[in-house]
Amino acid sequence: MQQIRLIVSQKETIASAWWRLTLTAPDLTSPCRPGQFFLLRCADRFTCYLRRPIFPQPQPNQQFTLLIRPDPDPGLAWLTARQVGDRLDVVGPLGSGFDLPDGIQNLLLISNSQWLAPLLGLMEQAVAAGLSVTMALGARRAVDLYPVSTLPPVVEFQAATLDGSLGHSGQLTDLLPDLLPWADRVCAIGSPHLYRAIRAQAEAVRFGIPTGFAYGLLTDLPLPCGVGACCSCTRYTNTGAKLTCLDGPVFDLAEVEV
Amino acid sequence: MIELAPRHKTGLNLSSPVLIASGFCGYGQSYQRLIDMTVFGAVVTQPVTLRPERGTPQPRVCETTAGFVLNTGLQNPGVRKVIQAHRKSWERLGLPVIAHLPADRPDDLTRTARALSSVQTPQGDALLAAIELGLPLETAPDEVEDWVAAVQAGSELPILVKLPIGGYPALAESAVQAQADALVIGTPPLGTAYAPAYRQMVKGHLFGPALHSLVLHDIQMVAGFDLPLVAVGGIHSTADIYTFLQAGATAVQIDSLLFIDPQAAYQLALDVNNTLLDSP
Repeated sequence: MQQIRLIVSQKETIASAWWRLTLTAPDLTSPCRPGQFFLLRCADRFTCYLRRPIFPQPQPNQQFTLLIRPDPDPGLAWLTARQVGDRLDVVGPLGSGFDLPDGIQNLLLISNSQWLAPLLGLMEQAVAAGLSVTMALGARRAVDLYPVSTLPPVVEFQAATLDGSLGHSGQLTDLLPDLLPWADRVCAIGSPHLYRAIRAQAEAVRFGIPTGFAYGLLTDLPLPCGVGACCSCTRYTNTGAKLTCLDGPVFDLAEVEV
Repeated sequence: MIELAPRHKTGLNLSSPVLIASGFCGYGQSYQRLIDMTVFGAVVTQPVTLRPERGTPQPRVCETTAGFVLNTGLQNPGVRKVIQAHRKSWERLGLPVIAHLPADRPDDLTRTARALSSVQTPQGDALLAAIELGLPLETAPDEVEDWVAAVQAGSELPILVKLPIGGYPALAESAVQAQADALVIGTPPLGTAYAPAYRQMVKGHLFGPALHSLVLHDIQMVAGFDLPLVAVGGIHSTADIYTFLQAGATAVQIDSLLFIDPQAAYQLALDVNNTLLDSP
Protein backbone atom coordinates (compact mmCIF):
# COMPACT_ATOMS: atom_id res chain seq x y z
CA MET A 1 0.00 0.00 0.00
CA GLN A 2 1.44 3.36 -1.03
CA GLN A 3 0.35 6.92 -1.69
CA ILE A 4 1.86 7.60 -5.09
CA ARG A 5 1.38 9.41 -8.38
CA LEU A 6 0.11 7.60 -11.45
CA ILE A 7 1.05 9.30 -14.71
CA VAL A 8 -1.39 9.21 -17.61
CA SER A 9 0.89 7.94 -20.37
CA GLN A 10 -1.77 7.17 -22.98
CA LYS A 11 -5.42 7.93 -23.59
CA GLU A 12 -7.21 6.00 -26.31
CA THR A 13 -10.76 6.13 -27.54
CA ILE A 14 -11.62 2.47 -27.96
CA ALA A 15 -15.29 2.91 -28.78
CA SER A 16 -18.01 5.48 -28.57
CA ALA A 17 -17.79 6.95 -25.04
CA TRP A 18 -15.21 4.34 -23.99
CA TRP A 19 -11.69 5.49 -23.19
CA ARG A 20 -8.72 3.51 -22.05
CA LEU A 21 -6.13 5.26 -19.91
CA THR A 22 -2.68 3.77 -19.61
CA LEU A 23 -1.24 4.73 -16.26
CA THR A 24 2.41 4.47 -15.32
CA ALA A 25 3.39 4.01 -11.69
CA PRO A 26 7.17 4.51 -11.50
CA ASP A 27 7.14 4.62 -7.68
CA LEU A 28 4.95 1.59 -7.12
CA THR A 29 6.71 -1.20 -5.26
CA SER A 30 3.67 -3.23 -4.15
CA PRO A 31 2.31 -5.98 -6.40
CA CYS A 32 -1.27 -5.54 -7.60
CA ARG A 33 -3.82 -8.19 -8.53
CA PRO A 34 -6.91 -7.78 -10.72
CA GLY A 35 -9.74 -6.65 -8.45
CA GLN A 36 -7.60 -4.66 -6.07
CA PHE A 37 -8.33 -0.96 -6.13
CA PHE A 38 -6.79 2.46 -5.72
CA LEU A 39 -8.38 5.48 -4.04
CA LEU A 40 -8.10 8.44 -6.38
CA ARG A 41 -7.99 12.08 -5.34
CA CYS A 42 -10.30 13.88 -7.78
CA ALA A 43 -10.67 17.53 -8.66
CA ASP A 44 -10.69 19.78 -5.60
CA ARG A 45 -11.71 19.29 -1.98
CA PHE A 46 -14.80 21.42 -2.44
CA THR A 47 -16.56 19.37 -5.09
CA CYS A 48 -14.99 15.96 -4.43
CA TYR A 49 -13.89 15.74 -0.83
CA LEU A 50 -13.61 11.97 -0.66
CA ARG A 51 -11.36 9.84 -2.81
CA ARG A 52 -12.99 7.64 -5.45
CA PRO A 53 -12.17 3.95 -5.86
CA ILE A 54 -10.84 2.94 -9.27
CA PHE A 55 -10.33 -0.62 -10.44
CA PRO A 56 -7.52 -0.77 -13.00
CA GLN A 57 -6.14 -3.72 -14.90
CA PRO A 58 -2.55 -4.45 -13.85
CA GLN A 59 -0.08 -4.59 -16.74
CA PRO A 60 3.62 -5.45 -16.86
CA ASN A 61 6.30 -2.84 -16.23
CA GLN A 62 4.52 -0.90 -13.47
CA GLN A 63 1.63 0.02 -15.71
CA PHE A 64 -2.13 -0.19 -15.47
CA THR A 65 -4.97 0.29 -17.86
CA LEU A 66 -8.22 1.83 -16.76
CA LEU A 67 -11.49 1.90 -18.67
CA ILE A 68 -13.49 5.07 -18.25
CA ARG A 69 -16.89 6.21 -19.44
CA PRO A 70 -18.97 9.34 -18.98
CA ASP A 71 -20.24 9.39 -15.41
CA PRO A 72 -22.53 11.74 -13.49
CA ASP A 73 -20.27 11.58 -10.44
CA PRO A 74 -18.15 14.76 -10.43
CA GLY A 75 -15.06 12.83 -9.40
CA LEU A 76 -15.31 10.30 -12.18
CA ALA A 77 -16.24 13.06 -14.63
CA TRP A 78 -13.00 14.77 -13.63
CA LEU A 79 -11.14 11.51 -14.31
CA THR A 80 -12.72 11.25 -17.75
CA ALA A 81 -11.24 14.63 -18.64
CA ARG A 82 -7.65 13.65 -17.79
CA GLN A 83 -5.10 13.88 -20.57
CA VAL A 84 -1.68 12.43 -21.31
CA GLY A 85 0.87 13.78 -18.88
CA ASP A 86 -1.60 14.39 -16.04
CA ARG A 87 -0.70 12.96 -12.64
CA LEU A 88 -3.15 11.16 -10.42
CA ASP A 89 -2.74 11.05 -6.65
CA VAL A 90 -3.72 7.55 -5.52
CA VAL A 91 -3.51 5.35 -2.45
CA GLY A 92 -3.20 1.65 -3.11
CA PRO A 93 -3.27 -1.08 -4.11
CA LEU A 94 -5.99 -1.87 -1.58
CA GLY A 95 -8.22 -4.78 -0.70
CA SER A 96 -8.33 -8.29 -2.03
CA GLY A 97 -8.38 -9.28 -5.68
CA PHE A 98 -9.53 -12.16 -7.83
CA ASP A 99 -7.37 -15.24 -7.94
CA LEU A 100 -7.11 -18.29 -10.16
CA PRO A 101 -6.14 -21.28 -8.08
CA ASP A 102 -4.94 -24.54 -9.62
CA GLY A 103 -7.66 -26.88 -10.80
CA ILE A 104 -9.80 -24.31 -12.61
CA GLN A 105 -10.56 -25.30 -16.21
CA ASN A 106 -13.61 -23.32 -17.31
CA LEU A 107 -13.64 -19.68 -16.27
CA LEU A 108 -16.75 -17.57 -16.73
CA LEU A 109 -16.22 -13.80 -16.61
CA ILE A 110 -19.40 -11.79 -16.47
CA SER A 111 -20.07 -8.08 -16.21
CA ASN A 112 -22.64 -5.38 -16.75
CA SER A 113 -20.39 -2.65 -15.33
CA GLN A 114 -17.99 -0.10 -16.73
CA TRP A 115 -15.47 -1.29 -14.13
CA LEU A 116 -14.73 -4.55 -15.95
CA ALA A 117 -10.99 -3.87 -16.40
CA PRO A 118 -10.00 -6.35 -13.65
CA LEU A 119 -11.83 -9.09 -15.56
CA LEU A 120 -9.71 -8.31 -18.62
CA GLY A 121 -6.61 -8.78 -16.49
CA LEU A 122 -7.99 -12.04 -15.19
CA MET A 123 -8.85 -13.08 -18.75
CA GLU A 124 -5.26 -12.57 -19.88
CA GLN A 125 -3.95 -14.60 -16.96
CA ALA A 126 -6.41 -17.40 -17.68
CA VAL A 127 -5.67 -17.51 -21.40
CA ALA A 128 -1.95 -17.62 -20.66
CA ALA A 129 -2.58 -20.53 -18.29
CA GLY A 130 -4.50 -22.43 -20.97
CA LEU A 131 -7.95 -22.18 -19.35
CA SER A 132 -11.17 -22.08 -21.34
CA VAL A 133 -12.63 -18.62 -20.90
CA THR A 134 -16.08 -17.26 -21.64
CA MET A 135 -16.75 -13.54 -21.28
CA ALA A 136 -20.40 -12.54 -20.97
CA LEU A 137 -21.23 -8.85 -21.07
CA GLY A 138 -24.49 -7.03 -20.77
CA ALA A 139 -25.65 -3.50 -21.49
CA ARG A 140 -28.65 -1.50 -22.53
CA ARG A 141 -27.47 -1.18 -26.15
CA ALA A 142 -24.61 -2.57 -28.25
CA VAL A 143 -22.88 0.82 -28.25
CA ASP A 144 -22.75 0.70 -24.45
CA LEU A 145 -20.86 -2.60 -24.44
CA TYR A 146 -17.15 -2.84 -24.01
CA PRO A 147 -15.77 -3.20 -27.57
CA VAL A 148 -15.64 -6.93 -28.07
CA SER A 149 -13.31 -6.65 -31.07
CA THR A 150 -10.50 -6.13 -28.58
CA LEU A 151 -11.04 -9.54 -26.97
CA PRO A 152 -8.68 -12.35 -28.05
CA PRO A 153 -10.28 -14.90 -30.41
CA VAL A 154 -9.59 -17.73 -28.01
CA VAL A 155 -12.13 -16.22 -25.60
CA GLU A 156 -15.75 -17.11 -26.25
CA PHE A 157 -17.86 -14.01 -26.11
CA GLN A 158 -21.54 -13.74 -25.29
CA ALA A 159 -23.56 -10.57 -25.09
CA ALA A 160 -26.97 -9.51 -23.90
CA THR A 161 -28.51 -6.17 -24.77
CA LEU A 162 -31.86 -4.90 -23.61
CA ASP A 163 -32.71 -3.54 -27.07
CA GLY A 164 -31.48 -6.65 -28.86
CA SER A 165 -28.88 -4.75 -30.87
CA LEU A 166 -26.21 -7.36 -30.08
CA GLY A 167 -26.43 -10.92 -28.84
CA HIS A 168 -29.29 -12.04 -26.67
CA SER A 169 -32.19 -9.64 -26.46
CA GLY A 170 -32.82 -9.22 -22.78
CA GLN A 171 -31.04 -9.33 -19.48
CA LEU A 172 -27.49 -10.54 -19.01
CA THR A 173 -28.81 -12.77 -16.28
CA ASP A 174 -30.88 -14.65 -18.88
CA LEU A 175 -27.61 -16.23 -20.06
CA LEU A 176 -26.77 -17.69 -16.69
CA PRO A 177 -28.75 -20.98 -16.93
CA ASP A 178 -26.68 -22.01 -19.97
CA LEU A 179 -23.33 -20.72 -18.74
CA LEU A 180 -23.22 -21.71 -15.10
CA PRO A 181 -23.28 -25.51 -15.59
CA TRP A 182 -20.21 -25.17 -17.83
CA ALA A 183 -18.16 -23.00 -15.48
CA ASP A 184 -16.10 -24.19 -12.56
CA ARG A 185 -15.24 -20.62 -11.53
CA VAL A 186 -17.28 -17.44 -12.03
CA CYS A 187 -15.81 -13.97 -11.59
CA ALA A 188 -18.23 -11.08 -11.91
CA ILE A 189 -18.27 -7.32 -11.78
CA GLY A 190 -21.64 -5.68 -11.86
CA SER A 191 -24.73 -4.71 -10.00
CA PRO A 192 -26.11 -6.33 -6.84
CA HIS A 193 -28.93 -7.61 -9.07
CA LEU A 194 -26.37 -9.53 -11.13
CA TYR A 195 -24.80 -11.06 -8.04
CA ARG A 196 -28.15 -12.10 -6.63
CA ALA A 197 -29.03 -13.67 -9.97
CA ILE A 198 -25.73 -15.58 -10.11
CA ARG A 199 -26.34 -16.93 -6.66
CA ALA A 200 -29.95 -17.84 -7.36
CA GLN A 201 -29.14 -19.48 -10.69
CA ALA A 202 -26.20 -21.36 -9.24
CA GLU A 203 -28.45 -22.70 -6.53
CA ALA A 204 -30.95 -23.77 -9.18
CA VAL A 205 -28.68 -25.39 -11.74
CA ARG A 206 -25.94 -26.64 -9.46
CA PHE A 207 -28.17 -27.59 -6.55
CA GLY A 208 -26.66 -25.02 -4.20
CA ILE A 209 -23.86 -22.55 -4.53
CA PRO A 210 -20.66 -23.95 -3.07
CA THR A 211 -18.00 -21.71 -1.59
CA GLY A 212 -15.14 -21.06 -3.97
CA PHE A 213 -17.35 -21.09 -7.08
CA ALA A 214 -18.58 -17.56 -7.76
CA TYR A 215 -16.87 -14.32 -6.85
CA GLY A 216 -18.09 -10.78 -7.28
CA LEU A 217 -16.37 -7.42 -7.05
CA LEU A 218 -18.75 -5.34 -4.98
CA THR A 219 -18.78 -1.65 -5.85
CA ASP A 220 -22.06 -0.70 -4.22
CA LEU A 221 -20.65 0.99 -1.11
CA PRO A 222 -18.47 4.10 -0.84
CA LEU A 223 -14.95 3.34 0.36
CA PRO A 224 -13.86 6.54 2.15
CA CYS A 225 -10.68 5.31 3.81
CA GLY A 226 -9.75 2.09 2.00
CA VAL A 227 -7.78 0.78 4.95
CA GLY A 228 -10.40 -0.34 7.48
CA ALA A 229 -10.21 2.87 9.46
CA CYS A 230 -13.85 3.96 9.48
CA CYS A 231 -16.10 0.86 9.28
CA SER A 232 -18.39 2.64 6.84
CA CYS A 233 -18.16 -0.18 4.27
CA THR A 234 -19.13 -3.03 6.61
CA ARG A 235 -21.18 -5.82 5.11
CA TYR A 236 -22.39 -8.98 6.73
CA THR A 237 -21.42 -12.44 5.53
CA ASN A 238 -21.88 -16.02 6.68
CA THR A 239 -18.71 -15.58 8.67
CA GLY A 240 -19.63 -12.27 10.32
CA ALA A 241 -18.98 -8.60 9.64
CA LYS A 242 -16.47 -7.87 6.88
CA LEU A 243 -15.01 -4.62 5.67
CA THR A 244 -15.42 -4.20 1.93
CA CYS A 245 -12.19 -2.21 1.67
CA LEU A 246 -10.04 -4.73 3.55
CA ASP A 247 -11.72 -8.11 3.19
CA GLY A 248 -13.13 -7.28 -0.26
CA PRO A 249 -14.06 -5.76 -2.58
CA VAL A 250 -13.95 -9.26 -4.11
CA PHE A 251 -16.21 -11.59 -2.13
CA ASP A 252 -17.32 -15.18 -2.45
CA LEU A 253 -20.96 -14.83 -3.49
CA ALA A 254 -21.85 -17.90 -1.43
CA GLU A 255 -20.90 -16.02 1.72
CA VAL A 256 -21.92 -12.41 1.30
CA GLU A 257 -25.27 -10.65 1.56
CA VAL A 258 -25.89 -8.63 -1.60
CA MET B 1 6.66 16.71 24.82
CA ILE B 2 3.25 17.69 26.08
CA GLU B 3 1.36 16.71 29.22
CA LEU B 4 -2.33 16.06 28.75
CA ALA B 5 -3.13 14.91 32.29
CA PRO B 6 -1.09 17.06 34.68
CA ARG B 7 -3.34 16.28 37.65
CA HIS B 8 -3.22 12.53 37.11
CA LYS B 9 -0.82 10.45 39.17
CA THR B 10 0.93 8.95 36.12
CA GLY B 11 0.09 11.74 33.69
CA LEU B 12 -0.29 11.45 29.95
CA ASN B 13 3.01 12.53 28.50
CA LEU B 14 2.99 12.56 24.69
CA SER B 15 5.81 13.15 22.24
CA SER B 16 3.66 15.23 19.89
CA PRO B 17 0.59 17.47 20.28
CA VAL B 18 -0.84 15.96 17.09
CA LEU B 19 -3.06 12.95 17.76
CA ILE B 20 -5.37 10.88 15.58
CA ALA B 21 -9.10 11.11 16.31
CA SER B 22 -11.42 8.25 17.09
CA GLY B 23 -12.98 6.68 14.02
CA PHE B 24 -10.19 7.63 11.65
CA CYS B 25 -7.59 4.94 12.23
CA GLY B 26 -9.52 1.82 13.23
CA TYR B 27 -8.04 0.44 16.43
CA GLY B 28 -4.75 2.17 15.71
CA GLN B 29 -3.09 0.24 12.94
CA SER B 30 -5.05 1.13 9.78
CA TYR B 31 -2.45 3.48 8.34
CA GLN B 32 0.59 1.67 9.71
CA ARG B 33 1.63 0.34 6.31
CA LEU B 34 1.22 3.73 4.66
CA ILE B 35 2.80 6.30 6.96
CA ASP B 36 5.15 6.40 9.92
CA MET B 37 2.69 6.52 12.81
CA THR B 38 5.30 7.46 15.38
CA VAL B 39 5.09 11.13 14.33
CA PHE B 40 1.73 11.28 16.11
CA GLY B 41 1.44 11.77 19.85
CA ALA B 42 -1.23 9.10 20.25
CA VAL B 43 -4.05 7.40 18.41
CA VAL B 44 -7.61 7.18 19.68
CA THR B 45 -9.41 3.95 18.82
CA GLN B 46 -12.82 3.41 17.33
CA PRO B 47 -15.60 3.22 19.90
CA VAL B 48 -15.40 0.23 22.22
CA THR B 49 -18.49 -0.99 24.07
CA LEU B 50 -19.07 -3.81 26.50
CA ARG B 51 -21.17 -5.82 24.09
CA PRO B 52 -20.91 -6.13 20.30
CA GLU B 53 -22.65 -3.42 18.32
CA ARG B 54 -23.80 -4.32 14.78
CA GLY B 55 -23.89 -0.69 13.71
CA THR B 56 -26.26 1.17 11.43
CA PRO B 57 -27.61 -0.18 8.13
CA GLN B 58 -26.02 0.94 4.89
CA PRO B 59 -25.46 3.51 3.56
CA ARG B 60 -23.37 4.88 6.38
CA VAL B 61 -21.49 7.61 4.58
CA CYS B 62 -22.42 10.25 2.04
CA GLU B 63 -20.34 13.04 0.56
CA THR B 64 -21.40 16.64 1.04
CA THR B 65 -19.94 19.82 -0.37
CA ALA B 66 -16.42 19.88 1.09
CA GLY B 67 -17.09 17.08 3.53
CA PHE B 68 -19.21 14.07 4.33
CA VAL B 69 -21.66 12.68 6.84
CA LEU B 70 -20.76 9.41 8.54
CA ASN B 71 -22.64 7.22 10.97
CA THR B 72 -21.38 3.74 11.80
CA GLY B 73 -23.59 3.36 14.84
CA LEU B 74 -20.70 2.52 17.17
CA GLN B 75 -20.05 -0.76 15.31
CA ASN B 76 -17.53 -2.85 17.23
CA PRO B 77 -17.20 -6.47 18.28
CA GLY B 78 -17.33 -5.73 22.00
CA VAL B 79 -14.49 -5.08 24.40
CA ARG B 80 -13.42 -8.71 24.86
CA LYS B 81 -12.92 -9.31 21.13
CA VAL B 82 -11.35 -5.88 20.63
CA ILE B 83 -8.69 -6.74 23.20
CA GLN B 84 -8.16 -10.21 21.77
CA ALA B 85 -7.77 -8.89 18.25
CA HIS B 86 -5.66 -5.82 18.91
CA ARG B 87 -3.53 -6.12 22.03
CA LYS B 88 -0.56 -7.48 20.10
CA SER B 89 -0.72 -4.70 17.53
CA TRP B 90 -1.04 -2.09 20.31
CA GLU B 91 2.19 -3.43 21.77
CA ARG B 92 3.94 -3.07 18.42
CA LEU B 93 2.40 0.22 17.34
CA GLY B 94 5.09 2.44 18.81
CA LEU B 95 2.78 5.18 20.07
CA PRO B 96 0.30 5.54 22.94
CA VAL B 97 -3.19 4.17 22.34
CA ILE B 98 -6.24 5.88 23.86
CA ALA B 99 -9.45 3.85 23.95
CA HIS B 100 -12.65 5.66 23.00
CA LEU B 101 -15.64 4.66 25.15
CA PRO B 102 -19.00 6.11 24.16
CA ALA B 103 -21.22 7.03 27.09
CA ASP B 104 -23.27 4.01 28.06
CA ARG B 105 -25.03 2.55 31.09
CA PRO B 106 -22.72 3.31 34.02
CA ASP B 107 -22.30 -0.39 34.92
CA ASP B 108 -21.34 -1.24 31.35
CA LEU B 109 -18.95 1.70 31.20
CA THR B 110 -17.23 0.54 34.36
CA ARG B 111 -16.83 -3.02 33.09
CA THR B 112 -15.55 -1.85 29.71
CA ALA B 113 -13.07 0.55 31.30
CA ARG B 114 -11.92 -2.15 33.71
CA ALA B 115 -11.33 -4.64 30.89
CA LEU B 116 -9.33 -2.15 28.86
CA SER B 117 -7.32 -0.88 31.81
CA SER B 118 -6.32 -4.37 32.85
CA VAL B 119 -4.55 -5.07 29.55
CA GLN B 120 -0.86 -4.99 30.38
CA THR B 121 2.45 -4.84 28.60
CA PRO B 122 4.86 -7.75 29.08
CA GLN B 123 6.51 -5.52 31.71
CA GLY B 124 3.27 -5.31 33.69
CA ASP B 125 2.35 -1.71 32.85
CA ALA B 126 -1.03 -0.66 31.50
CA LEU B 127 -0.94 -1.10 27.73
CA LEU B 128 -3.41 1.67 27.04
CA ALA B 129 -2.44 5.24 27.79
CA ALA B 130 -5.83 6.75 28.57
CA ILE B 131 -9.57 6.56 28.03
CA GLU B 132 -11.54 9.06 25.98
CA LEU B 133 -15.16 9.20 27.11
CA GLY B 134 -17.45 10.31 24.31
CA LEU B 135 -20.55 12.21 25.39
CA PRO B 136 -23.70 12.04 23.26
CA LEU B 137 -24.84 15.14 21.41
CA GLU B 138 -27.72 15.72 23.80
CA THR B 139 -26.03 15.47 27.16
CA ALA B 140 -27.32 17.15 30.28
CA PRO B 141 -24.63 18.56 32.59
CA ASP B 142 -25.75 16.40 35.51
CA GLU B 143 -25.16 13.23 33.47
CA VAL B 144 -21.49 13.96 32.91
CA GLU B 145 -20.45 13.29 36.48
CA ASP B 146 -22.11 9.85 36.50
CA TRP B 147 -20.39 8.77 33.33
CA VAL B 148 -16.97 10.02 34.39
CA ALA B 149 -17.42 8.36 37.77
CA ALA B 150 -18.38 5.11 36.04
CA VAL B 151 -15.14 5.13 34.04
CA GLN B 152 -13.13 6.07 37.11
CA ALA B 153 -14.69 3.15 38.99
CA GLY B 154 -13.21 0.74 36.48
CA SER B 155 -9.99 2.43 35.50
CA GLU B 156 -7.14 4.43 36.93
CA LEU B 157 -6.07 5.62 33.49
CA PRO B 158 -6.29 9.33 32.65
CA ILE B 159 -9.74 10.27 31.34
CA LEU B 160 -10.29 12.64 28.46
CA VAL B 161 -13.90 13.74 28.07
CA LYS B 162 -15.02 14.42 24.51
CA LEU B 163 -17.75 17.06 24.41
CA PRO B 164 -20.16 17.70 21.57
CA ILE B 165 -19.30 20.70 19.42
CA GLY B 166 -21.63 23.51 20.33
CA GLY B 167 -22.17 22.11 23.78
CA TYR B 168 -22.71 24.54 26.60
CA PRO B 169 -19.74 25.47 28.81
CA ALA B 170 -21.82 23.85 31.56
CA LEU B 171 -20.83 20.46 30.12
CA ALA B 172 -17.18 21.37 30.36
CA GLU B 173 -17.74 22.64 33.88
CA SER B 174 -19.35 19.33 34.84
CA ALA B 175 -16.45 17.39 33.36
CA VAL B 176 -13.99 19.52 35.32
CA GLN B 177 -15.90 18.96 38.53
CA ALA B 178 -15.97 15.25 37.83
CA GLN B 179 -12.16 15.38 37.73
CA ALA B 180 -11.69 14.66 34.08
CA ASP B 181 -8.03 15.00 33.10
CA ALA B 182 -8.60 16.79 29.79
CA LEU B 183 -11.40 17.95 27.52
CA VAL B 184 -11.65 17.01 23.86
CA ILE B 185 -13.70 19.33 21.65
CA GLY B 186 -15.46 17.83 20.05
CA THR B 187 -17.97 15.47 18.56
CA PRO B 188 -19.35 17.00 15.33
CA PRO B 189 -22.99 17.92 14.88
CA LEU B 190 -25.35 15.82 12.80
CA GLY B 191 -25.94 16.48 9.16
CA THR B 192 -28.02 14.88 6.45
CA ALA B 193 -27.09 14.31 2.83
CA TYR B 194 -28.89 12.73 -0.11
CA ALA B 195 -27.26 9.63 -1.56
CA PRO B 196 -28.46 9.33 -5.17
CA ALA B 197 -27.22 5.75 -5.54
CA TYR B 198 -29.48 4.68 -2.71
CA ARG B 199 -32.20 7.26 -3.32
CA GLN B 200 -32.29 8.02 0.37
CA MET B 201 -31.07 10.45 2.97
CA VAL B 202 -28.03 9.60 5.04
CA LYS B 203 -27.85 11.06 8.51
CA GLY B 204 -24.59 11.19 10.43
CA HIS B 205 -21.90 13.28 12.01
CA LEU B 206 -20.67 15.97 9.64
CA PHE B 207 -16.95 16.06 8.85
CA GLY B 208 -14.85 18.43 6.80
CA PRO B 209 -12.94 21.73 6.95
CA ALA B 210 -15.98 23.71 8.15
CA LEU B 211 -15.69 22.06 11.55
CA HIS B 212 -12.54 24.03 12.29
CA SER B 213 -14.42 27.24 12.87
CA LEU B 214 -17.00 25.57 15.13
CA VAL B 215 -14.32 23.92 17.25
CA LEU B 216 -12.29 27.12 17.47
CA HIS B 217 -15.37 28.89 18.78
CA ASP B 218 -15.83 26.26 21.49
CA ILE B 219 -12.15 26.20 22.42
CA GLN B 220 -12.27 29.93 23.06
CA MET B 221 -15.41 29.50 25.17
CA VAL B 222 -13.75 27.01 27.53
CA ALA B 223 -10.18 28.27 27.36
CA GLY B 224 -10.54 29.67 30.88
CA PHE B 225 -10.85 26.24 32.46
CA ASP B 226 -7.73 25.00 34.15
CA LEU B 227 -7.63 21.79 32.17
CA PRO B 228 -5.80 20.73 28.99
CA LEU B 229 -7.93 21.09 25.87
CA VAL B 230 -7.69 18.90 22.78
CA ALA B 231 -9.18 20.36 19.61
CA VAL B 232 -10.53 18.03 16.94
CA GLY B 233 -12.31 18.94 13.75
CA GLY B 234 -11.48 20.13 10.29
CA ILE B 235 -7.69 20.30 10.50
CA HIS B 236 -6.24 20.47 6.97
CA SER B 237 -3.11 22.58 7.42
CA THR B 238 -0.44 23.51 9.92
CA ALA B 239 -2.15 26.91 10.19
CA ASP B 240 -5.29 25.14 11.39
CA ILE B 241 -3.25 23.42 14.09
CA TYR B 242 -1.45 26.56 15.24
CA THR B 243 -4.73 28.45 15.42
CA PHE B 244 -6.08 25.84 17.81
CA LEU B 245 -2.90 25.90 19.88
CA GLN B 246 -2.93 29.69 20.04
CA ALA B 247 -6.57 29.66 21.11
CA GLY B 248 -5.72 27.54 24.12
CA ALA B 249 -5.59 23.93 22.98
CA THR B 250 -2.74 21.81 24.32
CA ALA B 251 -3.12 19.22 21.58
CA VAL B 252 -5.13 18.50 18.46
CA GLN B 253 -6.60 15.44 16.80
CA ILE B 254 -6.56 14.95 13.04
CA ASP B 255 -9.70 13.42 11.55
CA SER B 256 -10.87 13.40 7.94
CA LEU B 257 -7.58 14.63 6.49
CA LEU B 258 -6.33 11.09 6.98
CA PHE B 259 -8.93 9.82 4.51
CA ILE B 260 -8.30 12.37 1.83
CA ASP B 261 -4.53 12.75 2.12
CA PRO B 262 -2.74 10.42 4.57
CA GLN B 263 0.67 11.70 3.52
CA ALA B 264 -0.39 15.29 4.25
CA ALA B 265 -1.58 14.25 7.72
CA TYR B 266 1.81 12.71 8.38
CA GLN B 267 3.59 15.80 7.06
CA LEU B 268 1.51 18.14 9.23
CA ALA B 269 2.44 16.22 12.36
CA LEU B 270 6.08 16.15 11.34
CA ASP B 271 6.16 19.89 10.61
CA VAL B 272 4.50 20.76 13.91
CA ASN B 273 6.86 18.47 15.82
CA ASN B 274 9.91 19.99 14.14
CA THR B 275 8.70 23.54 14.74
CA LEU B 276 8.02 22.90 18.41
CA LEU B 277 11.40 21.20 18.72
CA ASP B 278 13.09 24.27 17.25
CA SER B 279 11.16 26.77 19.36
CA PRO B 280 12.89 27.99 22.54
